[in-house]
Amino acid sequence: MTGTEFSKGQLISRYGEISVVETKPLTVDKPYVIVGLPEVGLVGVIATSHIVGELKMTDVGYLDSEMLPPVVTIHDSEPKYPLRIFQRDRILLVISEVSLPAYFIFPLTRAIVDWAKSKGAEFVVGLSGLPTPNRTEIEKPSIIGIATTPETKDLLSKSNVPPFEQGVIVGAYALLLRESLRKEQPNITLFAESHHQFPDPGASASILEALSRILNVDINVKALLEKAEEIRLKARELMRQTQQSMEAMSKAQERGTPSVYV
Amino acid sequence: MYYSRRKKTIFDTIEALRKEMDRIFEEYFEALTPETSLYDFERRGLTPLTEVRELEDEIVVKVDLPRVSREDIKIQANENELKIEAPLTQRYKPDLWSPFCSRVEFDGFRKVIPLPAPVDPNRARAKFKDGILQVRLPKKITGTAIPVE
Repeated sequence: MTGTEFSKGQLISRYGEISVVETKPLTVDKPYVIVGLPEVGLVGVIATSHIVGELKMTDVGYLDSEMLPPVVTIHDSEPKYPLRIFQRDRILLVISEVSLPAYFIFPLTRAIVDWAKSKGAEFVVGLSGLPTPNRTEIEKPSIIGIATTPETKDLLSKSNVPPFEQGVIVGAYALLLRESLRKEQPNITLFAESHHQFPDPGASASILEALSRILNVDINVKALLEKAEEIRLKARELMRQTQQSMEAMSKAQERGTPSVYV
Repeated sequence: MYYSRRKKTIFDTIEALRKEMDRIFEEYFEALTPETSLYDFERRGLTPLTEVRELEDEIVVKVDLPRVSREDIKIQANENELKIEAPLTQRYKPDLWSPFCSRVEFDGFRKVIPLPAPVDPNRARAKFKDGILQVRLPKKITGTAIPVE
């Protein structure tokens, strides 16, 4: 961290180029920090957006940087930052409403992990999709997970989430995992079988069912599945921009044969 | 590790320069090419998200068509392109944009997809499941058969 300041009732923590601004006091003991960034099938963004609505989470802050696109979103006549933080009980949630440039992902994941550590997070949770060629044939996408500590591995196992045993992950969630390992911040990252270039609410619903078991929190996905077609229509532009950003991160490696041997 | 002992000739340098120039031109023209908009305001049409994969003997095109019925989809193909038209079962009015843009209602998807290699459209197969259209187009076989002695 490069500095903290308290100004006008807001706590501002600076992590290199990125500021994390807490607009409301956060006194959460051992929170779970869930991260929803635009990636494969927009699985993480669709899932976290649903959690915010379903759990009626409170808007408690945002992340800001000069490296972010010049975008403000407007909700209920209020201008909002595109990268926001929500809270409910022990859950802190970071969500991006816009696609993020590839060069921003590294400082962003580093800031999220540093901030989570400063909050004493029990673990960070990444929600993503894994491109699956025959996704159209799959009625209910399967979920696998990666955990970084014996405790989180045990939790995954008790929650009936099979481990991601072998393979390659590229992109934002790979960096989130790497930073978590480097900072010794426990991390659980879940992956759903997903469409690669199309928004996939079905994959998001499956991942939320697994997350419910892990956090022991009831997240109803019925509404998400009912709104699936509307979500797919709304999320098209974000999906396309995300696709361009993923290409810049060589994300296609996940779809092909990985160039690793051991 | 393998090291080449061959000395670089003037031709190697020219070849490397040519490749670099090609790369610069490709990047330049890519930046100039306007992106196809996902929204055709004049015709009230949506351009669907698509995924085109070229395999050894066929081209597989996937098209994302939410809020569409299978019986309404029209597909036409020739050797070089695939044309998709599919009306929405219910008009789509985007509410995430500015209030002025959201006055527009869209009534269907339309797209002409250029194919990366010539295909035989008569052998193409299509299926539609959960709002995803998948079209498999076998590549056109050209050339003369060569007997193996």
